[in-house]
Amino acid sequence: MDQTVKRKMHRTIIGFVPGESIMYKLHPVVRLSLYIATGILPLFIETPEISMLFIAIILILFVVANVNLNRLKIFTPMLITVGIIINLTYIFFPIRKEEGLVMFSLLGLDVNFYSTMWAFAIYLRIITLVLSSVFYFSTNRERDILVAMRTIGTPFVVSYFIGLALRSAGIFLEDYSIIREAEQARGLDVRNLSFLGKVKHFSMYLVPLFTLSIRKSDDISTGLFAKGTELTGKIDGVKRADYLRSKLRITNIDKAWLIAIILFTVTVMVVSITTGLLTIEGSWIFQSIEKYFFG
Amino acid sequence: METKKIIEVKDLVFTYPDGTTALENITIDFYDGEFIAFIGTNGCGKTTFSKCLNGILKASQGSIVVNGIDVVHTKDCMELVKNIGYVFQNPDHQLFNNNIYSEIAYAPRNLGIPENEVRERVIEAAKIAGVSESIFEEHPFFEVKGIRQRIAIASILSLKPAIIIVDEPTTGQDYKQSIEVMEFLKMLNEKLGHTVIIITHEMDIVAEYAKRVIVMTDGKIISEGSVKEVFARAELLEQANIKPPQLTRLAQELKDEGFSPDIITVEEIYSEWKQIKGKNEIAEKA
Repeated sequence: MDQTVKRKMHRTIIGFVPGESIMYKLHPVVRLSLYIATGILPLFIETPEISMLFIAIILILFVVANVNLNRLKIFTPMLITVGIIINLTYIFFPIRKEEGLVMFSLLGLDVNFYSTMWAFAIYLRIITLVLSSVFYFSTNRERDILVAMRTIGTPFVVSYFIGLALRSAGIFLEDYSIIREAEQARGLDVRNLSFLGKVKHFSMYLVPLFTLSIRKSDDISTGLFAKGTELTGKIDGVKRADYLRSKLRITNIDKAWLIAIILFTVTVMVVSITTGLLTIEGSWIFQSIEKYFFG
Repeated sequence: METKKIIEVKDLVFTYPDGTTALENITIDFYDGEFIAFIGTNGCGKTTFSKCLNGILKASQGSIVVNGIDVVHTKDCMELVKNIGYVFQNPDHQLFNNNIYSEIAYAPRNLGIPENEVRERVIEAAKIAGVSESIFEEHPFFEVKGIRQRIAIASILSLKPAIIIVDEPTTGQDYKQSIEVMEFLKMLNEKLGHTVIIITHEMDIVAEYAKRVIVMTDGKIISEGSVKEVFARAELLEQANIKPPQLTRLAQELKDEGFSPDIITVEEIYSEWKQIKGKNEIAEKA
C-alpha cells in the first residue's frame, strides 16, 4: 500500500518546514549562501533604519517562503531578554562617556546617548541574525544542509559528524517532548513552578535524556559500522556515490542567484568599509534623536 | 446490570501541527470495567486517539468527556490524571526520577497528597505491579526492560486512576514477560475494577485478554465490538491490513467443514472439532 502523504509541513530540527515553498526551487548551496550573507551583512550595517529594512526583508522572505510567522512567537521571550541585557550592559558600561551626552538619569545612573544608540543598533543586528537563522532552519532540512556542505567541498568527515549532531539534536528534542508529555500525564503543571523550581526540575531530565541519547547514538554507530561506513567517505579508495547530490544539480538560475548574492554581499561590505553611509552617525534616527535632546 | 458510561467521545478531530489529520470524526463511548484493545496499522491514529482521551493532546474539534470531565476544555489537569492514566510505549520516556520510590511517588506528590498517604500508595502500587521494595533506592533507568515497564505501570497505578491506557504493553518483551504484563492488566481489570485500554499489534493477545476491540484505519474507527464479532469480520480487517489470530483464520478456512468463523481460543476450536467429528461419525454410521 502506498502510504505517501503530501503534508502541509515537514518535521525538522527547529520544528517544521513548509511542505511546499518557493525556496525549494533553489539549490541548497544557494540557500546556504543566502544564510551566510544574511548572517554576515548585519555586521557591516550600523544604521538602525537599514537594519530595520533588513529585518523587514527577512520577514518578507518568511512570507514568500511559506513559513508560518507564528513560529516566531517562541523566540519573543529570548529577544526581549537579549534586549534588556544589551541595554543594561550599555547603561552600566557606556561608550564615548567622555563626550558626556547624557539623555536622562535613571535611578542615579546617567543614560548616555551614544551608548543607547549603540545598544539599539547592536540589538537590531542580533534580531537580524536570529531571524536569519530561524529562516534558514525553517526552510532547510538536515539533508539540505548536508548537501550544501558536500557541494561546497566540506570534507566528508565534517559533514558526517554535523549530520550525526543534527540528528542527535532532533532525537534529543523528541525525547524531551515525550518526557514532558509523560510528566503531564502524571499531573505535573509547570505553570505552578517558580523559576528556580523550573531550573531544578529541568535538571531532573538530564540523566534520562543523556542516557537515551547515548543509547541511541550507540545504536546509530553500530548500524553504520554494520553497513561498512568509513569516516573517509570512500569505498576502496573511491569516493562514495551521493544520491541527493546527484538529484540536486546546480542550475544556471542557481548560479545566477549565487553570483547576485555574492556581489550584493561584497558591495555592501565595500560600501560599509570605504564610506560612512552605513555608520550609526549617518543614521537619520540617530541625527533626529540627537537634535531632539541636544539641539 | 447497566454499566456506567465512563468516556464519551463525539465528533473528535485531531490535526497535527504539520497539517496531518490524524483523527477524523470519531464518535464512541467506553464503559466502566471494560478491557478494550485498539488495533490497526502503524500511523492509523491509535496512539493519537489515546493521547487525546488523556488530554496530552488537545482535540482540534469535537468533545471528550471522561467521568464527567470535559477533557478538551478543562484546565484542571490534576482532576483528569486522577481519572485516566497513560503508560507510554517506551518506559524510558516516563522514568526521570533518580530512584524508583520517587518515580512511583511522583504523580501522587504532584496531586499534593500528604507524604504518609503517598508512601502507602507507592508500596501498594509497587506490590500490585510486582516491583520489589528492596530496589526502591535504585535508579529506575538502569533496571532491565521488564522491570522498567513495571515501574512505569506502578508510577501510574499510584494515581489510582479509574481508567488505564497502556500503549503497546508487550512490545520488546519476551513471551514470559508479555504474559506477565497481560495477566497483571487482567488482574487490574477483573479484580480491582480498572477500565483498561491497550494499544497493540498482537492479535493473539487481543483474542486472549480483550473484551472489546476497536479497529482503526486512516484516523477512523472502521469496526468495533466484541473480540469474536470483530475477528469474524474478515473483509473489514483486511481493509485495515490486519490479520486475525492464526486460530481464527484456520476456523474461517474450515468454515465449509462446519467451524464457526469467530473462534478465538484453542478450547473453542477443540470443542467444535469434537462436535463436528462426532456428527461425522454418526453420519458415517447412518
